[in-house]
Amino acid sequence: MTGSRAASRASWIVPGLALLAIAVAAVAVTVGAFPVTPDGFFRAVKNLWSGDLPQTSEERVLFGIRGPRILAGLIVGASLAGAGVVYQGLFRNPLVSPDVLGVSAGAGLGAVIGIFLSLPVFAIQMLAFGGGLATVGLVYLVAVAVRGRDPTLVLVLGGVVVGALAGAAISLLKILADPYDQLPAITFWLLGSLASVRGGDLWNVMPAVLIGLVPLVLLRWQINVLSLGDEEAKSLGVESGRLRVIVIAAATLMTASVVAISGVIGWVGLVIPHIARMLVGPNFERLLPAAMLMGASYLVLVDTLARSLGRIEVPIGILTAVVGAPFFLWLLWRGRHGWS
Amino acid sequence: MRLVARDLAFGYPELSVGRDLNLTVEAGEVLCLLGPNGCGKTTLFKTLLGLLQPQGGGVTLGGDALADLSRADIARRIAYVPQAQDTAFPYTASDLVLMGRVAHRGVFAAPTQQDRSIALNALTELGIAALAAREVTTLSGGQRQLVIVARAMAQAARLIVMDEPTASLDFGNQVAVLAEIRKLAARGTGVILSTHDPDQAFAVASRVALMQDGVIVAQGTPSEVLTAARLKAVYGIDVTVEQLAGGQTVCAPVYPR
Repeated sequence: MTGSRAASRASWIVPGLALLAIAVAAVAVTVGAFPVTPDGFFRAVKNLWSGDLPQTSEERVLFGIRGPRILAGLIVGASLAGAGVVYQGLFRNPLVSPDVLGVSAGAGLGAVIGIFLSLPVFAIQMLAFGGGLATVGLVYLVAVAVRGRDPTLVLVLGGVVVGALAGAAISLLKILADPYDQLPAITFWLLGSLASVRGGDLWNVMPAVLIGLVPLVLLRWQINVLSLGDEEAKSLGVESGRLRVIVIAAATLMTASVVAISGVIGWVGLVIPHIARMLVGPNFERLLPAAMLMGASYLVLVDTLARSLGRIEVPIGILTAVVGAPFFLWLLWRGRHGWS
Repeated sequence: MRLVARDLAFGYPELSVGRDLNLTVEAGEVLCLLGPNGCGKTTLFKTLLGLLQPQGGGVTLGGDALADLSRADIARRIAYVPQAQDTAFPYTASDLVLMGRVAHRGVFAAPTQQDRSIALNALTELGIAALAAREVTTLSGGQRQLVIVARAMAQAARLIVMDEPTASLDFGNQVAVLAEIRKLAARGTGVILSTHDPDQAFAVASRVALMQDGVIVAQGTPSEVLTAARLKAVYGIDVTVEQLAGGQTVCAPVYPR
């Protein structure tokens, strides 16, 4: 609020994080199996600007592969972290991740069905997207059917049950899948990767991400109030039932659409909101942009490592877990005050 | 602004808690609700606030049935100070008080400068403006309770429901909160509060309702309702009710020897 230290700090943190995201993306452009000098990058951008089609191999790498991949990293990271912030506030629990309502399990099941049936990439993405939305929808219907209990608790338990069911179905398909062709693809998908993202995928994903993001930005103050709990929010004048539906739908739309192109990337939506909250506090108005910018930087950073660490590409989900798990233990070790 | 509950039956789905309840609270008066643990005070409050559907009868706020009002309408007329509880996230005191303003703005709005000064005024009136930038998770129970009272004041409703506002507060903070309740009433706010201490009813209440097993067994001025005989009937203990030299009435339990 006016004059408080946290607010004056927050006023430069968010622009600072935006600069950081740009810097990380700029470095990521030059790093990789095919090194690109900053000079070459600007030359390529200038050529593209003047309307020439990419011709040199440098330009083809930049605009055909690396550029879309870095943009995807920014979008996926920002969406997962943003959805994490929303879910944690909604469930009043800082240990909740965007997967809590089963969106990843459902998207995973959709993608695995697509791979199992040897469908084209776009169909696999659509199945993943639809699977994520359908799972959360099912969980929500379960919660509506169970009346007279704490609605958020029922939602979490419903998410656990439906997620476990989807996990069982995924396991069954893995057993049935062709072990030389389909099984590696399934495993790779379930660990997440940005390697196969192309420019066209971004255009498919962006509208859904934006449709999810707009209500979250518009309803930022109401979402703050909702994080006080159902009854308190109602007594302050917020229609919490309706707001909860909108917020879940928006955050799920963002998560399902990015998971469709990236596969399941864990930990980002859990850990990044924590760090963002430590930096700017719990006020959603500042927390959402801060977390989204940090998530964007983080995922591009991790993805750059994933594609340049070794001779073969490391699935990004493995790296986020390697970074995220120790961080999480550190949070536990710091005790409850660390939630702030 | 007047709150009226007529022939109210209340409770949770498949669990009836109270029935045949009639209550009226006017702006500017303090109604104190007393009764043993589990007699239904909190459930009644939630029904008066529209958080629970009545199982029979009805509640009107300023002449309008609660069922016909939107959440924001209700919040502009009646504020709620819930029982002290932990907050999940470390909002600053001023951010928390500011949330009292949400019913006065559109759903897409952010707090305006006017909202911020109203919030700061509420904190100042309670003498806790110095806490504005503090995270509520770092405050003591008494300070946090005062912050929630400040939020109810920022909500600018003519009626405030307070569920055991002095529970878990030390002696000094109890008196501080009760003094604020008196001030609120003096400025024309109607206050309904529950408490376990009959002395507090004598100190602040213009009327008392004594509740047992979901039914109001007596209603009236403190001295009419809180007699030694009634307190024994409701709480099952012997009580002496005496007036001190200064005019203040106190209740003291008689301990069995």
